[in-house]
Formats: sequence, structure tokens, C-alpha cells
Amino acid sequence: MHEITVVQRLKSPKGISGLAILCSFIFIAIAAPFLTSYSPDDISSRPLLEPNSEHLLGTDDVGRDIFSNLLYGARTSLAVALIVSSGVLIIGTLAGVFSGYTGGNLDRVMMRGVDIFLMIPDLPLILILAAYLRPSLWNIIFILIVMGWPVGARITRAQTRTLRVSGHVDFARISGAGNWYVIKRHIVPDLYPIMITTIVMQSIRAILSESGLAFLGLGDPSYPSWGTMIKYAISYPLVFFTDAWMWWLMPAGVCITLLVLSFVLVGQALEGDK
Amino acid sequence: MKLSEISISLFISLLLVSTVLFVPASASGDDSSQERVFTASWGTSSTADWGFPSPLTFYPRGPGYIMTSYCFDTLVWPEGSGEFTGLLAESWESSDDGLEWTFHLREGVNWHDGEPFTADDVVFTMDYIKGKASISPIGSSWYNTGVINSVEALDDHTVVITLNYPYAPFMQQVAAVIPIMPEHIWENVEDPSKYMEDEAAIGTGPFILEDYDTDQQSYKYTANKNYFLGEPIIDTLIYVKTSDVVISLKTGEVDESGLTLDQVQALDESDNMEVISGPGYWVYRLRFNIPSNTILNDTTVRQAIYYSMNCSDIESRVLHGGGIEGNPGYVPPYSSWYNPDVAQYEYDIDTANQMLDDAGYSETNSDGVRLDAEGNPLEFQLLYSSDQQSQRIAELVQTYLKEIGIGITLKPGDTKTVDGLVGAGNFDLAIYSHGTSTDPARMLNSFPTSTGWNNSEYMALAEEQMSTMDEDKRKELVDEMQVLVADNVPTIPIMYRNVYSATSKDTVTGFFYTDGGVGGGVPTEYNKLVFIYGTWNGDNDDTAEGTTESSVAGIRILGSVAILACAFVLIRHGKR
Amino acid sequence: MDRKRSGHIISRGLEYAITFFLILAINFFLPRVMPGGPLLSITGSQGSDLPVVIDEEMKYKLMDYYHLNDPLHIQFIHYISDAFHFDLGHSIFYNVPVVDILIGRLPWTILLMGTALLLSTTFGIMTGLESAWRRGGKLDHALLVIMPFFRSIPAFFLGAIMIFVFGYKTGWFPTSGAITPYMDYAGPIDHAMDILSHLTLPMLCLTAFEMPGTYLLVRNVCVQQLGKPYVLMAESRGLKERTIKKHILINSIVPVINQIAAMLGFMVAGAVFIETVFSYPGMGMLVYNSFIERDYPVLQGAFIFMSLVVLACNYAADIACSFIDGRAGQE
Repeated sequence: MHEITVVQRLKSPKGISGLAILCSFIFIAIAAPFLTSYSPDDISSRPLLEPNSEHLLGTDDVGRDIFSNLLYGARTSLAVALIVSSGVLIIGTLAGVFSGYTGGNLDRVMMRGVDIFLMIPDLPLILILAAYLRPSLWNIIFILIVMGWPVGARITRAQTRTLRVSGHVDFARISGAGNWYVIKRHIVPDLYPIMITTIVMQSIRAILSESGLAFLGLGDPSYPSWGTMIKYAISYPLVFFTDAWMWWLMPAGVCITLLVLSFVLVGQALEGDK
Repeated sequence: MKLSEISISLFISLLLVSTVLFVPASASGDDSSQERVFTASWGTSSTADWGFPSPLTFYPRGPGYIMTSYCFDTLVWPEGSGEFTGLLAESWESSDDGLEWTFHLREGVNWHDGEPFTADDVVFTMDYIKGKASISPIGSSWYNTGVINSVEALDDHTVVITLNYPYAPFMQQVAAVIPIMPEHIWENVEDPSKYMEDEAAIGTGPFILEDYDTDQQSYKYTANKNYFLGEPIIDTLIYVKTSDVVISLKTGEVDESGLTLDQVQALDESDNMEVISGPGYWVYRLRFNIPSNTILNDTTVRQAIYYSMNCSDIESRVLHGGGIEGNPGYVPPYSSWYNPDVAQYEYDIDTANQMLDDAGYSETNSDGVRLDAEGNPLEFQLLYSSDQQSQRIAELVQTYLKEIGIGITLKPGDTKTVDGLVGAGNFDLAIYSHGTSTDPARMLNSFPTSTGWNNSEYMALAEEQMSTMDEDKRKELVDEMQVLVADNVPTIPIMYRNVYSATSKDTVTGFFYTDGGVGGGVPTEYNKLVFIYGTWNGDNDDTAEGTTESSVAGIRILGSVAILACAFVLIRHGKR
Repeated sequence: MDRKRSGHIISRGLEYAITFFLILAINFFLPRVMPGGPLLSITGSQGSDLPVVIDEEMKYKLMDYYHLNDPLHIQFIHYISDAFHFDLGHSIFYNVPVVDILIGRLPWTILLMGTALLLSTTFGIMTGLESAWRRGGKLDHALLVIMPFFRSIPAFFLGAIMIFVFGYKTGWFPTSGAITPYMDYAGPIDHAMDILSHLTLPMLCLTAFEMPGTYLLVRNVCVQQLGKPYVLMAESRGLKERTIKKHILINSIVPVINQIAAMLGFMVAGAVFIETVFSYPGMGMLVYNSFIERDYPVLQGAFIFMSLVVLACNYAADIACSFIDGRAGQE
């Protein structure tokens, strides 16, 4: 029943345009090797070339093909979004359902803990953590999951509380169903819409955080990242004084914006906006 | 109730109130049009705050020392050619064995507060810095008081410094570095590393500190009109922080800044800039963990790695021509100590591969990575700090080493993490960048600590050259040291960065890079002598105008936004 | 009712106090397990331009100077008791008390974040209410496209574009700093103008960063209110649009205030990016710089300060809400 409404909601103009952008990015990420003949870390070309037939977006300061970096950057962003959001989803849902279903003091303490997490200004803490663990993509993913799960837990928990006292759950419990059975059959299915929302929201957060950390110089250099591209483009002094900003700075920024926008649109469509 | 209108007016009034709060009670309205103000910037560095400019509180890096040197004078100071001119000392001589240095001090010099400067201040400073070195990190890193045995004042204007042992670079590293502090101010200071009152910046120098603002990262100095070498050519010297130095130069927010070559290229004719360049004495090098890594301990492997790297290509990709490729002997070619007759490692993959094959790494695995005798792949971690140049070099090194079957994992970190891991010996390879210093005493003698390479023959030469007072004899010893360095490849100097400076032609001309650097080897255009012997070409203060205009324009925009917003609300209400 | 409210306020206060203590603890232990450590930032890097000849004795003295050679729990007790005396230690990089630096930076951050918060909240509420009222209309549709778009632009990218367009291309606004250093002002108005012109770009940037969230929140809350019987009744009774809107707003204000307070931590992150891009001398740039310099005390102090401000704002929002709406105290 719920799956149908999700599909219906996604059929709104917003949902369709969001999904279209998202799918094209996924296509780009998968098909990257076929769309460009350059590897993202191939430095055989001359540095700082203007766009030409060889290099659609020119080359950067060490002679890398910007276009292929852009394509492979989509991989990094999408991978981070996927892993972080699934991580948050799993941990958040488990914690949220557990807390909400159990209720009582344990619930109170857990939600307090979640509140604490939510209130800490996360970027300063992420900076400290990122420095401690040193920049690697897996560390960034780890940090984002650690800092993100409470959000998932909180929404799930609220919904679980509502369901816990709702008619059909009560009925099932009175009929003698075990806790596991109730959770599996009656609570989790009703959480699907919220889970999708969590995935969407966490993907947005993951993409923006990953590019932001890369911009601050805490990214993983082994993977091409849009944030790193922006960082290098801006720190190249001539980027604004020549036309280089058009093919070096803008594409990366526009890509982040579009990808995030696609998730935002999907998210809005799921919430029922047209 | 028009809620939105109320909130708008509330917002605007709060905005105005909050800005008024920042206005000091007495805003000065003096006529300052004839003032000669010169605004400089430290350019590309991440911070422009180099600490309070007193000899024991500045941040112990080159710029921190420069900021202090404006207020404080040393006994001698380098001119553009690197020759020493007297500041507080008028003349000096040393005994034949190089142990006793006699300085005849300038007479009639006063501190900024009017007290006379005497030989007692020199004696006090040397003893004080020697005694306080343990408290202040600066004391140990900048002032080489370890060579000094005793300091005596023969009379009010004669000082004799006795050394523990002959020290060839005494003038460059000690007499031209230690700033003389006023005894009458510092004698009662308990904790000099926290002493930052106005008096703490009183020296004899050409400028008097008027303001140091750690939040805005700015400094303001006014000219010391009674400076003994002559009145400075400007009235006010300002250092500010700017986020984009090229834009700031173009808009006139700053008059001068140090730049990279890329930034220099962003300037054009219409900007009316005088650009100078100089040797940077700044090296980017590949460091090996020689003591702990048995593979890298093998000189043949290091030589093979050297052969596999095209250093001039790396330079052209990272600095785009703003530097020169490294010299196997480590000493940059523009140094007077440079020895060209050392082993060379021209880019040659075949030789590199051959050497590695011969060294017993001929087997490769499926990824094309060489295997050692036990069958482990030849893979190393490459540590580097995440600034742009180091990162780019690391990526290029990774690519080059891949060609000869050596796998590299990139390990970026911030400078302190890299230093921490290298200090703990917890690394394989590292990209290091730092000033080389200009005197062999610092440039080469530190190799055991700075590369981990310990060679007794080399150290014997190092000891000897330090106490050799005869220049030619010393040069021979230094030449030999370079031969040893090139043969053993304790580190690979990839390239040396040049330094550039651009100055608005309407302000001060006459900037130069000091041969050998100032303050014991800081390569900078800020030799304070430029503000005495340079020329002032402007007529009035042109720094304020540009920004006043832009701020007026900015207010117009802000105002129009507010008006538009109000109009929006009114229209909405009118519709009903 | 009143007793209940004060009980609620006190218990919330206790919870915030515990939260704060935990933040203090996290804050203490995290930096200490990092490699490198503060000692290196004092001595500089090995083999760098001026290699520090540091012997064991000197190292010990330096450690002693920064309390680093006490056992960890003693350090912790020192740390907590100092924190409650507003002694957050001595900056290694700046060589002055941390509190002095923080207090120097705080006004700028308050100015930047305060004005941006005011602007984003004002316009967020205006647009959100208007959008909810005309839901399905042209304005609503337009806003529902524009706002998410702004939300999707990374703050640092927006900042870079703004510097390019308004700083360089047009030259309307200065692109860095908070004031023109050492300018001679004709009067206080002139001075205020200088501050305002420096503030404009980062403030607009932070507003654009923050406003979409507020807008969506207000719109959602108001749309819910619109379906309520009292609105339908008011409409059927022919009350003026303005009056109904006022009531909707009053009824929506509690979740809005709570949510805006809860989003402050998020806004801090925006401020770090924006202050870094614009070199605005506030807490955000301080955090970034002291992180680069590994200046533990400052990093710790700034984090505590920010957390304290965020917690205090949340607490204030709680109290305000419990006064506005008695029901909030009962959950």
C-alpha cells in the first residue's frame, strides 16, 4: 500500500525531474570510462589547456583532464551518498525502533543522547575527527555515519511511538504476537516512507559534507572529488582573470548543486509536494 | 498589524544598532591626506598573524621575525648584496682565532621612549635571551646563543662577545639576528613570553608599533622620525590580511605583496605594478625513512628513484615556471656555495629500471609492482601536507614511480600531522617543503636530523666547515659535502621555488631581495632598509579612497534591497 | 500550571547542563589522541627553515608549561575547573589567553550570524507564510523551486561566486575582512558603513544558506495550520486575510522557534565555510585556522564556546516556547 503511494508521489513533476537528474548522474558515474578516454589521474597532457576537442573542459594546473575528473567525481559523490545513507538508515532505524518500541526510561536516555548529538555544532567536531583519522574516503564516510545516525534514529523513533499506540499494532499485540513479529510485520513496513526520506536527506548531507571537507583540504586525494576541484580552481590565481572559471570552477559547482537538487526534489516529491 | 513590515523595520533598525555598537566613541576626523601610508600583505599564507612583534613573543617563523625587525635593531644587518652594514654597531672586528668579537656601538641612539641606548643593553639582551630561552620557544629556535660564552661591556659603547668555539656564520646567524632589547623595560618582566604591553615593542628600530590586532590579523607601525640611519620614507606601515591578494592589489586595498608566479601573471599593465623576483631558498624535496626502512636504506634504490623522476617536468606542472628544478647536491644553483660538479640524475626510466633489477627487485606481480626477495610488493606510503603544491607533487611522484614498478599510497595530512609522523619515524616517503636557509651551517649541517642520513665522513666535514674562518677553505669543504650528498641521495631535492613581489608604482620603489636573506636566512622582500633607502612616489594616502567608494556603493545596494523588500510587502498589501 | 512550567524549565536546564558537560568531555579527549600534538606546533617542523635544536630538558619544560606532562585525569580535572572559571587555557599560536581571542572574535560572529539569522528568519517566515497561504499558486510554485535550489548550492561555492561577481567583476563590495584596517573615518556613520559593506557579502551568503530551511519549515507548519477548524471558521466568518495570517503565525511560532534554534548548529557549519572563504575574522575562521595550526586550546575553546551558545539558544527557545504555549511543557 505504501509503496504505491511512494511511486505515485514520485510521479509528480518534481519527482520526475529529480529522478531524471539523479539517473543521469548515476549513468555518468557508471559509464564514466566510456565517456572519456582519459583516466582522472592521467597527467600526460599539458597543464592549463583551454577546452578543445581532446579535452572538452581543458586541463587543470597539473595537466589532468577536467572533464574526466568531473565524470569520475560523480562516482565519489554518489558512492559516499549511498554508503552514508545506508549506514545511517540501518543504525538509525535499529536504534529508533528499539528505543521507540521499548519506551520508558531507556527511551528517554537514548533520546537525550540523540538530542546531545543533534545539538553539537557538527562541523568543528568533524574537523577534529577528520584530522585525527586523516583524510581518507572511508574515514569521511565513517564520520558522517557517526554524526548522522541520531537524525535517522529520532525520526524513526517518533514514527515508532505513533505506531506503537495505533490500533493495528495494539490489536496484533493483544492477539498474542511476539515483539519481533510485531516489529517485522507491522512497524517496519510502515516505516518505509520514512526510510526513503532518511536516505534522501542523508544523501544530501553526505554529498554536501564530502565536497565541503574536500574543499577545506580534508578530502581523499586518491578519489576525484568535486569539492577538491573547486578548491584547486579557486586557489589557481588566474581562474577569475581568465576564462578558466567557466570550464574549471563552474562545472564542478554546478554538478554538486544539481546532484543535491535532484535529491531535494525527490525528497519534496515524497513529502507530497507537486 | 502588519507583521512583515514590522519585522522588516525591526531588522533594519537592529542592523543599524548593531553596526553602531562597533563604532568607537571617538571616531577621528583628522585630515590625513598628506600622510604617506604603505599597506603590505603577507600574500598567500593562510594566516597574517605572526604574533606580537617583540623579540620573545613573535610566532617563530620568518614573517614573525620580520614584523619584529621593524621595531628592533640588531648589531649588524644585511644589505641587498648580503654585505653587512652596521645598525647598532658602527664597526666591528674579530680576533684571529675567531673567538672574540668586538663591536663598537653607534653613539647617540635612543630607544623609542627616549632613553639612551648603551652597551649595557647589549649585554643585558644576550644574557637575558640566553637565560629565558627555556621559557620562550622563540629563544631556542631563533637565537643561537649556544655559541656565546660571555658578553662584556668595555665601556658605554664597546661590547666584546666571546664564543665557545670558532663559528664561521657568527655574523649572519647571531650578530644579524638577535634583536637588542632595552634593559630598562625588560629587567623586571617576569614572563617575557606573555609580556605584550605597549612597552614590549619599544626598540631602536625605524618603526614604532602603533597597533597589533590579532583578530583582524593586522599591524600598524608609524615611522621613527629620529631613526639613526635617517627618517623612513613613509609615515605609516600597515600589514593586513587579505583573502585574494591579486584582487586586493588591483583594487588598491594593498600596495605590495609577495606573490607566486601564477599570481604575477594575473597582473597586467593597467595595474601599474613593479614586480621583482628573487631566489626563494625554498625547497620541495622527497624525504626517505632511511633509518627504519630497509629497502629505502639502500642507496641504489634511492638513486633509481631519483632517475625515475623528471624534476623539471614536476616544476613546470606545479609552479608553472615559478621555480627551478632541484640540484642533487641540495644547495640551490643561485647560492654562492653551489657546487655544479656533483653526480647528476637525468630523468631516465631505463637506467632506473635496470638499477632496480640489479638490486634484486626484478620480479613483478600482476599489477606490475616489483617484488622484494620475500615476495612482498614494493609499495610505500607517501606522506605529505595537504597544501596545494605538496599535494600536486605527491600525485606526480606517484605517477612517476608507477613507471618503475614502485607502488605509492598517498597519505595526506596537515603540516603538524606530517611532522608528527615523520618525527616519530612512522613513514616511508614524505614530501617536505621548507626554507633551505642560506648558510651551509644550517643548510647542510642539519642533514642527520632533516634526512635521517648519518655519514661520519660527511659529519666530519660539517664540523670542520663550521669552525673554518677562511672563506675559500670553507667553500672547498662545502663543495665536498655536496658531492657526498649527490652520491648518496639522502633526500631528493625536487625543485626550488622562486619568490615574487609586486608593488604599486605609485608608492614605494626600491624593493629588493637580500642575498642570503635577512634574519639569518629569511628570503623576503621586507628588508627594513628599503623603507630608509627606497623612494616614495605617491603623494597622498590612496588606500582609503577605493574602499570608501566601494562601501558607498555597497550601501546603495543594501538600501535598494531593503527598499525592494518594503515595496514587495506594500504591493502585497495593496492587492487586498 | 505555573509550577509545572518551572519544573519543566529546571529539568530541561539540567539536561542542557549534562549535555554541556559531555561536550566538555568529548572536547577534552578528542584532540589529545591526535598524532603530532601541541608540542610540535611550538617547536616547528623538523628539518624546516629553522630547525629547532630542542633537547629533552627543554621539551620537558615546555610540556610542563602547557600541563602536558601531567597524567590524563589530572589534566582533565584542571581542564574542567578552569573551564568553569572561564579560563580556557593559553593559545599556543597566538600566545595569549584563549578567552581573549574568543572574545575578540565573538562580536564579529554574532554580527554575521545574528544579522543573517534575522534576515533569513524574517524573509523565511514572510515567504513561508505567503507560500502556504497561496499554496498551489504561482508564487508558491516559484518559491518551491527557488528555495531548494539555493539549498543545494554549497556555501563555499556560493561564496566564491559572490566574491567573483560582487567583489571582482563589479567591485561593489570588499571581499575579505570585517573592516578596512586603519582607515581614517570621517565619523561614526562612515565607520558603520565600512563595517556594513564588509558584512554584506558574507551575510547574504549565510542568509542564502539558512533561509531555505526556515522557509520550508514555516511553509510546512503553516500548511498544517491552514487545515485546522479555526482557520476554516475564521475564513467563513469573513475575517480579513491579515488577521487570519496573524493567528496562523502565532499558532505556528512554537515549532518554528524550536526548529530554528535546533538548526543553529547547522548554521555554525555554514559560518565556518563562509568565514573561511571571505576571511571574516569570526569564530568560524578561527576554528579552521587553529585546526590548521593545531592550536589545541583555541580549537577546544572555540568548540566549547560555540556549543555553549547553541545550547543556550536552544534553552532560551525552550523557555520562550513554554511561555508561549503551555502545552509544550507537558510532553
